[in-house]
Amino acid sequence: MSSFARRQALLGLGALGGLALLAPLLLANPYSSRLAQLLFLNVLLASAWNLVGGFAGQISFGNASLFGVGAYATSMLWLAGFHPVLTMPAAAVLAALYGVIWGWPCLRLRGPYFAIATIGVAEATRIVANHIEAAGGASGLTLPLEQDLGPVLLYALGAVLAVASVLVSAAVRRSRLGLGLIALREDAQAAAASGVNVARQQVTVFAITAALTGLAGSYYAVFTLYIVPEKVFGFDLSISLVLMVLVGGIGTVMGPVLGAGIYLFLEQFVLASLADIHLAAFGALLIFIILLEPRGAAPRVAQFVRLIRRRFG
Amino acid sequence: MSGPAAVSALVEARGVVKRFGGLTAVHRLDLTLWDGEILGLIGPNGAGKTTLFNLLSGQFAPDSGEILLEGREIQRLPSHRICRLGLARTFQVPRPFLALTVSESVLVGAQFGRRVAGTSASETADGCIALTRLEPRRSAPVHSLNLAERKRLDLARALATRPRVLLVDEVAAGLNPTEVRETVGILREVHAAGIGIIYVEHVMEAVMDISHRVHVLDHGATIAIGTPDEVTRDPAVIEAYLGRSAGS
Repeated sequence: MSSFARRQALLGLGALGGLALLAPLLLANPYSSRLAQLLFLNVLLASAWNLVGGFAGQISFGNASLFGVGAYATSMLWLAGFHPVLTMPAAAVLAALYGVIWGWPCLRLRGPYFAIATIGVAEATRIVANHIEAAGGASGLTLPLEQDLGPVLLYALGAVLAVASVLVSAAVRRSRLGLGLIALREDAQAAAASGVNVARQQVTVFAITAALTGLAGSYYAVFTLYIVPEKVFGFDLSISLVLMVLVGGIGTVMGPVLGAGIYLFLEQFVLASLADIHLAAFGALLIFIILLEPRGAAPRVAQFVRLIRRRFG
Repeated sequence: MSGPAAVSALVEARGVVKRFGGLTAVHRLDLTLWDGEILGLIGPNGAGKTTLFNLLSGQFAPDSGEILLEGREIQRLPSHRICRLGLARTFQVPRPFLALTVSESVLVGAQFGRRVAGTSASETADGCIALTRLEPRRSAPVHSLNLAERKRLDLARALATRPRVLLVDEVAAGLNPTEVRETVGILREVHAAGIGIIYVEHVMEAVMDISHRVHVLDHGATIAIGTPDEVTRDPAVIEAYLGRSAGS
């Protein structure tokens, strides 16, 4: 085991231990356990988005299409009699497959062209899902309430998924794949001239993004027990991921984690009273961030941590 | 074309044509780089030198003609495949990966370039950083490098792919005389390591100094091939650069 792998394993176990210690606090009432579930969901989604959006620089507004595939895979298999946790690998694989199917052609585009293509794919997916009667059509699917996994298991499941997504992100950043992605993000032609297979690197990372996003959809279905196309394939969801990562710090490992937390906080506590205009408020926040701190919160937080360490370490 | 019969061609272009709309940038061009050779490639602005590099390295596909690398046709292959077969290039205006450090940038070439058994990617990268005198800057972020350093970084990144053939595009342009001499010295070391070089350059003292042969282009076609001495005396070359004298 390399020293990096050992350190990551320790950090991962540490994070899980910390979350286990926090569990009694977060599981105190149904609202706080729901907040924890949403936080884990956001971390997973934002880390997954950042792999392709941050490292490869390909901004996707279509991740809801992958989330929805994961949510529907788990729901339909669950309704067919499989244990929900056992459906999760299937959700990941199906979402990865769907991601590769549309990512392969779309990732040949770069920048705004890719972004626009992802909107098209995701919206088309949503509309089609609304018309598949076998999957409940526009009214969606209701899952067996009596088989609810319960708050403790859902908390543990979410914690593992969220921590795993951050470790995957750190591993990708360190790997040959991650180096190739940053190179092609900075200059695709120069990367290709240095031997980087630009198309393959992007599709590979997109498959990982899609698998993790599918897992997120699966987890969402398992804790909400009710899914509809307008929600799980919705454009709002895709947008919220972009916001989280931009707020937290695009292209960094911890940025999506920070952004996921900040987003949840704003959504739950600050903007709850604003109801329908919350997206407009987020839009304003985004403009504010891009103008004042285009690299997001992560660099500032890292600076702060270094300062603390120097003072006390 | 001269060249000892026993020596094989590293790169061979045969009847290569490239048009951009109505403009023919490269017109039925034949060009050979022999094994162990430094071939200078010169010509006035717009002669087609950089276009030829883009064709050889797979950035564009030619409209017709063949390009062979060690006897293998490469004209339809994508850039990264050509790189992995052993042809690397630098860019006229350096194209650094600004978010990376010097050593990470060079590692991109070492990890994705041609596979050579026996040496690790990081050893290769270290060797290339040393060769291009970037040792003191190895941990520096690329955006902090000056022009001369960025040119050497382009060179290091290309060398890290372990090429058989290196295309060098105006690596001396914009440098001061000391930096030009240093760069020429680096190219000599690259050549001594057994890498064939095609060298596009406007800085004549650099290209004439180290080229074994010089291939002169004008309007996308060959106007002269020969030793540096031969081409500088060639009336067609003088005319291409300076125009026809009034009396003749």
